[in-house]
Amino acid sequence: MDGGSAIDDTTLLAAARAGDRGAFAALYRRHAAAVHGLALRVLGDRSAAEDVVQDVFLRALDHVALLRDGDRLAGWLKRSAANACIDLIRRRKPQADPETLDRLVDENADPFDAERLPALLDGLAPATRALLWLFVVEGWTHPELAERFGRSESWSKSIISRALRQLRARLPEEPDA
Amino acid sequence: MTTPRLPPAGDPAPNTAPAWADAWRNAAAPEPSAELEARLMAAFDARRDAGRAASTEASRIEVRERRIGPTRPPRWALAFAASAALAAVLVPAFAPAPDTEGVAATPTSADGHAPPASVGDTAADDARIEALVAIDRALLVYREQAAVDGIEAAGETALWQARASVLPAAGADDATRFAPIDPIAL
Repeated sequence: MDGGSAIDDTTLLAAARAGDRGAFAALYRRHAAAVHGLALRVLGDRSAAEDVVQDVFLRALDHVALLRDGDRLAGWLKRSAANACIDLIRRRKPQADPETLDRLVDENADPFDAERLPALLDGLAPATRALLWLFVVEGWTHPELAERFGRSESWSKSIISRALRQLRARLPEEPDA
Repeated sequence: MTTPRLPPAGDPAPNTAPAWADAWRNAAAPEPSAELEARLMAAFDARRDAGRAASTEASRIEVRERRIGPTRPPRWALAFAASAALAAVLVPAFAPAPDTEGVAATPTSADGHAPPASVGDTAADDARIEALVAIDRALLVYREQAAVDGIEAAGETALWQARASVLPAAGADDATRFAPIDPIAL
């Protein structure tokens, strides 16, 4: 199988599960950037992010039967990657207070500036970083975040609210502010 | 990709996604390394090969089971060993008097009885029953397995001999008490 873009994910996944190396490679090339980008933003650790990507793609082979619609594969991969990242963060060590954000804001970090984004995220405590990214960019809800982190919704709301409040203070040009 | 919830105009609610979420989303992230793809494909190959090996083994077992039935451990051997050991312990206790036709001298047929031992002794009778149950179970298992594995009949003969060694004289009550156990009850 050549794995061209005309072939839908369901077909590729089924072929990959049957042992088609080309199909698996095509799936990887189609979705790896998005999955890796999410894992890297959430974890801030390239090596850990790549481990997550590898694990997620291999697990996808086992879940082919659960994916009735090939279009859902992209969402499934990202969701699985996010879950894996959260599990990793929870295993690492107790979550620190997100105090570093104050320091970054004081240093005139501009959240609009994509080039500053890695530095901004790198300065965050792991849990804050994950919460902020998943909430702001991936659209997770507080109940979802709370459940996955094994914490309360108020915990999620508190951390994200605080982080956003500090960021908003630096964004006078934000239309909604 | 899930669309983040942007705040309604004029709503400063702190827990909604800011308008600059798109800037974050569209910020280019570093591409995964080439090593990752190589590592992933190697893992895929290993997994595929393992799957094929497992499939081959499963097929081999399936073919064998189709040919001779499901593979089972030689339960008869264990049962035989257990009952033989039990009989070895009990038989001397039930050994007939020297002037009586001994069990060792009279290997019996399937329904043969050995001369009486210490019939009437409750404890001894209970021990006999226990031994007989063990031996009968062994016989049933042995027969079942023999049909599968094509084992020799010598084992069954030995079991019958052990059974005869334990049996007391046949009486009206004893015939019932010491009758071979019902295979269906096993």
